[in-house]
Amino acid sequence: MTEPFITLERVTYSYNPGQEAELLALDGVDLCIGSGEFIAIIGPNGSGKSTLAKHLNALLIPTQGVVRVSGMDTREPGNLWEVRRSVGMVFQNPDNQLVATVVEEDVAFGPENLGVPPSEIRVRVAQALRLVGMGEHALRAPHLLSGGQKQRVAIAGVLAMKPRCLVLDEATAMLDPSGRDEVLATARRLNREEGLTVVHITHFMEEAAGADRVVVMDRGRIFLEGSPREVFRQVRKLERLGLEVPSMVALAGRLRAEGLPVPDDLLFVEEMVEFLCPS
Amino acid sequence: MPILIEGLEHVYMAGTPRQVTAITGIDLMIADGEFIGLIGPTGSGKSTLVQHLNGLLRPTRGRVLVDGVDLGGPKADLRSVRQKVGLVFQYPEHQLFEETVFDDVAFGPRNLGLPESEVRKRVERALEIVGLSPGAIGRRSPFALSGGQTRRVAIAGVLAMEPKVLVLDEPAAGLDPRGRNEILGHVLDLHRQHGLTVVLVSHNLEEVARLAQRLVVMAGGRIVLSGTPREVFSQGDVLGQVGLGMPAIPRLMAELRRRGKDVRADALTVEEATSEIVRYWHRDANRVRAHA
Ligand SMILES: Nc1ncnc2c1ncn2[C@@H]1O[C@H](COP(=O)(O)OP(=O)(O)OP(=O)(O)O)[C@@H](O)[C@H]1O
Ligand SMILES: Nc1ncnc2c1ncn2[C@@H]1O[C@H](COP(=O)(O)OP(=O)(O)OP(=O)(O)O)[C@@H](O)[C@H]1O
Ligand SMILES: [Mg+2]
Ligand SMILES: [Mg+2]
Repeated sequence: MTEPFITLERVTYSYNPGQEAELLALDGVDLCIGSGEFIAIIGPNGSGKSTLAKHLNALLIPTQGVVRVSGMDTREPGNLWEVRRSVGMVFQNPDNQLVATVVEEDVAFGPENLGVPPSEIRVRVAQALRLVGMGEHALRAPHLLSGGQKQRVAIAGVLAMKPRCLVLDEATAMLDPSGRDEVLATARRLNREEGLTVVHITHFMEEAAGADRVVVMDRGRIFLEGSPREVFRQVRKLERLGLEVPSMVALAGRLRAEGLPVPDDLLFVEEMVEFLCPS
Repeated sequence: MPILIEGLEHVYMAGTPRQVTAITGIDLMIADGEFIGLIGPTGSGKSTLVQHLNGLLRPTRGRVLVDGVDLGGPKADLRSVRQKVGLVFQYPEHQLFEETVFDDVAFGPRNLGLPESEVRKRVERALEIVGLSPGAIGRRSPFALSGGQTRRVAIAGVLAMEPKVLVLDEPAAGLDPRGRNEILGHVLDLHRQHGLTVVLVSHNLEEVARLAQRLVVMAGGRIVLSGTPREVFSQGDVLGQVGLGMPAIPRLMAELRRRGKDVRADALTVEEATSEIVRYWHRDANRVRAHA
C-alpha cells in the first residue's frame, strides 16, 4: 500500500454512552486507508458504515481508540479545522446538500466558510466545476438539475475546499443508472488523475466491484476486507450477512455448477463476454 | 380501486420566474390489483406524478380519479383516500415525526380509530415485516437510526394502514440486499394473495423488471414508453436515450447476440441467462465434436 492517509486504531463508538439508550455502533475497528486509495464499504443496515464515515472527518470522535488523518489525532480540538478541510463528505439526498440558488454560489459556500480570499475562490469554483464536468452549468439553478448533476455539484462544493479525501455515504443511492455512472466515473477520474483518496459507501455490489479494496462491516466490526475479487469470491459468507454478489459473479457461479469452466474471480460483463466469446 | 389519470399536468411555483412544468399530458389507467413499475431518469416527474395519487399534490391541469371519485372534485374525501392509497415517500425522513418508532408506526392506525390492542398488533406485524424487532427498536427515536432503519420505519408506517393501493417511491434506496428482497417479496405476496395494487417507483431496473407486470417509462415529464418488462427491455435504445441504460444481464445478452451467439435478447434474470448460455454452450460444444 501507499503511505497511510487515515488510520483507525481500535476505534469504538457508542451513541448515548452511560445512558439507558447506549448503543455500541463501532466495536474495535482497525483500518488503514492509503493515500490515493479507492475503498468501498459495504454491510447490512445498521452495521456502522455511516458512523465510521463520520469519524473520518471528525464529525464524530471515538469513544475509545484513535483516528488519525494525515497524522492528526481527531480528538485534538486544534486539529478539527485542518481535518475537516482534508476530508469532505457527500450524502444520499442531493436536495439537502445544496444551499444556494445558483450553482457557482453553492460551490463557493465551502471555501467562503474557510475564509479563502474571493479571487482564489473564483479560481477554485471554476476548477471544481470543470473537474466534475459541470463547467457549463455554473449559472444554473441547482434545483433544476438532475439528481446526478446535483450530486456532482455537491462533490464540486467539497472539491473547492481542496480536500485530500472524498467520502461518499450512499451518494449514488437516489440516482438513476446514468447518474450513478457519472458520479462514480467522476470520483474514479479524480482518484486517478488528482490522487484523491475516495471512500465510497454503497449497497450496490456492482459499484463496490470497481474499487481497489472492499471493506465489509457487520455489527460494528470489520467482517471481511480485500480486493473485490477476493471479497466477492466468498459468496457464502456474504450471503450469511444478507449481502449479495454482483450479478456477473452470481451468473458465473451458476454456469460453473452447469459445468462451464468460468474463472471464479470474474466480476464484470466485459469479462464474461471475453470468456464466452474469446477474441 | 382502479385509478384513472387524464391529461395530468403539474406546474411548481406557477406564475413565478422559477416555475417548472414537472409533468404534462399524462394519461394512465392503473387497474385494480395491477403491479406497475414506474421508471425514468432523475427529474423526469415520477415523484410528482405519484404524489397526485392520494391528493398530496393538486393537478394544475387534468384530473385523477380514484375508484371513480375525482380527487379535485367536491365529493372527494382526501382523508379516506389517504387511508386507501398508502404512499411511502422517496425521502423517509419527511414522513417521520413521533417520538418513538412504535408511536410513529402506530400513528396511521390510531388515526383510523382502531382500538389500541389492534393498533399494537398491526404495529408489531408491520415492524416484523420490515425486519425490525418491535422490542429492541420500538422504543427508540426514529431520528436516531441508521439510514436503512429509518426507511424501514417509514415503510412499516404505511403497511400498518393496510392500504388497498400501495405507492412506493424508491423504497429500496438505502436498504441492504436482504432487506430489499424481503420487504419487496412481502409486497409481492400482498399483491398476489390479497390483490394489493402496487405502484413501485425505482431506479433499479432489474428489480422493477422482476416484480412489475407493466413498466411505465417517464422522461421529461411525459410517459414515453409502457409495456411488459420484456417489451420495454427489448427497446434498449430508448432506455439508453433517456439515460437509463441497461442492467448487467440484458447488457450481456445484447453483447452476446452482437457477437453472433444465438441467445434470447429478452432474458432478464440470472436464471434465464444461465439457461440461455448453457443451451448454446452445449450446442456449440456438440458442433465442435461433430467437426472433429
Ligand atoms: N444518532 C444516533 N443515535 C443513536 N443511535 C444511532 C444513531 N445513528 C445511528 N445509530 C445506531 O448505530 C448503529 C450504526 O448505525 P449507522 O448509521 O452507522 O449504520 P449504517 O451501516 O450506516 O446503516 P445503513 O446501511 O442503514 O445506512 C445502528 O444500530 C443505528 O441504529
Ligand atoms: N417542490 C418543488 N419545487 C419546484 N420544482 C420541483 C419541486 N419538486 C420537483 N421539482 C422539479 O420538478 C421536476 C420533476 O421532479 P420529480 O421530483 O417529480 O422527479 P423524479 O422523477 O421523482 O426524480 P428523481 O428520480 O430524482 O426522484 C424536476 O425538474 C424537479 O426539479
Ligand atoms: Mg448509513
Ligand atoms: Mg423522485
